[in-house]
Amino acid sequence: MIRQAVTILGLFAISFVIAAEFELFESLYELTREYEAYQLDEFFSLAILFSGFMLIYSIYTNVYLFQAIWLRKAAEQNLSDLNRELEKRVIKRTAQLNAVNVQLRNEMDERAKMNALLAQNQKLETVGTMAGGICHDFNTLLGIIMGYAGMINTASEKAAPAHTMSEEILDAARRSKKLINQLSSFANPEKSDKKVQSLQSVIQDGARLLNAALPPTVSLSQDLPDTPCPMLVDADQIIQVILNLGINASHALEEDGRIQISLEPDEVDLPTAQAKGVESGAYFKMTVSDTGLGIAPEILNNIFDPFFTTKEVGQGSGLGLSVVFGIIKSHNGFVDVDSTPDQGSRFMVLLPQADIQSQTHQDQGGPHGQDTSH
Amino acid sequence: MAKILLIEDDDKLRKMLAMLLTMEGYTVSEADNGRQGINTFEKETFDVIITDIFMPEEDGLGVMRTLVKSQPDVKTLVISGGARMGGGMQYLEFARLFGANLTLVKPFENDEFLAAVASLVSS
Ligand SMILES: Nc1ncnc2c1ncn2[C@@H]1O[C@H](COP(=O)(O)OP(=O)(O)OP(=O)(O)O)[C@@H](O)[C@H]1O
Ligand SMILES: [Mg+2]
Repeated sequence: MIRQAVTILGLFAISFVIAAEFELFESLYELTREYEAYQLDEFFSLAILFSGFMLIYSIYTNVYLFQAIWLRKAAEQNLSDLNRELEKRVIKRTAQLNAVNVQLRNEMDERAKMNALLAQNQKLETVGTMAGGICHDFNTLLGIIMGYAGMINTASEKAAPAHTMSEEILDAARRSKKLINQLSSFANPEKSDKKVQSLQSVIQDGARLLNAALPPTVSLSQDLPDTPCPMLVDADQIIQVILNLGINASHALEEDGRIQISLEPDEVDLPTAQAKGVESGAYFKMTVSDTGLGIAPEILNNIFDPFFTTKEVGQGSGLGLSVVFGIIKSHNGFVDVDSTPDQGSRFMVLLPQADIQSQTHQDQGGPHGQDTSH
Repeated sequence: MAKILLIEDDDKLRKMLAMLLTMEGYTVSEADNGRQGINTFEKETFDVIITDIFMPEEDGLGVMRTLVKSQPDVKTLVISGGARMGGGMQYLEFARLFGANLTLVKPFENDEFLAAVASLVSS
């Protein structure tokens, strides 16, 4: 502000000087004319020369000053333009950074989730290996129990208490044997008998068996695609999966609940595949969903653990889902679960399509005929 | 009566099986690992040899390998309850490939076991 005022004052002063110069020049000129007749005095000619010089000089300074002011104005304008541009860029960049931040945070969340999944997977595998070890020892111990109980049983009279007692021991030991078998099928799924066959017909067989096991109040529906889904699977094992999932679902149902089994093609992306320890690509997704009680979020991570059960003693052994896990793993797939308490649960079984591609080429017969007499 | 060699590293299980066989009227010799079992059947002949698979010193597959070479006519029953490190059922399949006549998965019912032994003795 002050600088502008000084400049304006300066301008005034300069114009004033110029005006004064002109007047001086004019009066000098007139004087010269008046004294034309006379020989010009040396003093006058010097004075005229001097004032002319002053005039030129002052014009020059003025022009120079104007130019300086104008340049400065332009520079200031330029500067504020630049400022505005910079501000705009900063805002834009901040927005970009914010977006990147959000994306980064999402990625971190995603990664944390994947890590948790990976840890869960590894835990189950370790448990599987441990279970294998336990199975060996248990089988030997059960062998001893069953052997002696059997001897007591044959040695005792039918009416003797020892006979019924040993019968009970045998019974308990046989039940334990079944449990161990289930556990070891989780630890190392039996060498399976895989064939290329239509998943639809395997599911239909499983559903038929499941239906027989369900109370009549429960409705079981299927939603299977029309296009064939050929797949390299062990039909008995997949049926076992359907039974285990279906029976769990029926346990979660109140009266007149619904269970649905559906099948659809699906894609598994790389991060999910890595977290699950499988290949990414084309999959078939078999979903068993129910309208039951659902699963509390705090136990969702435990339900696949061997012996994890919320059922009363004698009601559930907690092995159903471990077996499902083991079987699907041996098919190079994975299981996912999604549940809303009080609304229901969905168990998704993902089986890779890749395995069958080469197989179907060799096996030109296509899907094997499925005999339905399971 | 038929002579049987029982090779099993778990003392209690071996004693139980030996008792069961003795009660059935068989003459039973016991060995508590594969090495000892091989030493025994190299000195003495048996009608039937029953062996576990996972044992210290020499395992059941080693027993089968030696036996098939030296006494291919001896009848064999291989029993297993799986391996400590998981898996193991496929070893029964190996045992069959090595020439085992019969295999049984532990734990088994006495009747099953005796029926298997009887069928080997009578064949
Ligand atoms: N569809 C479902 N709805 C609600 N809870 C479920 C469902 N499926 C499984 N669960 C929960 O997961 C637990 C573990 O299931 P899992 O099948 O492994 O064992 P289980 O059913 O308890 O016993 P088992 O199957 O050996 O008889 C169940 O006890 C139950 O709490
Ligand atoms: Mg269950």
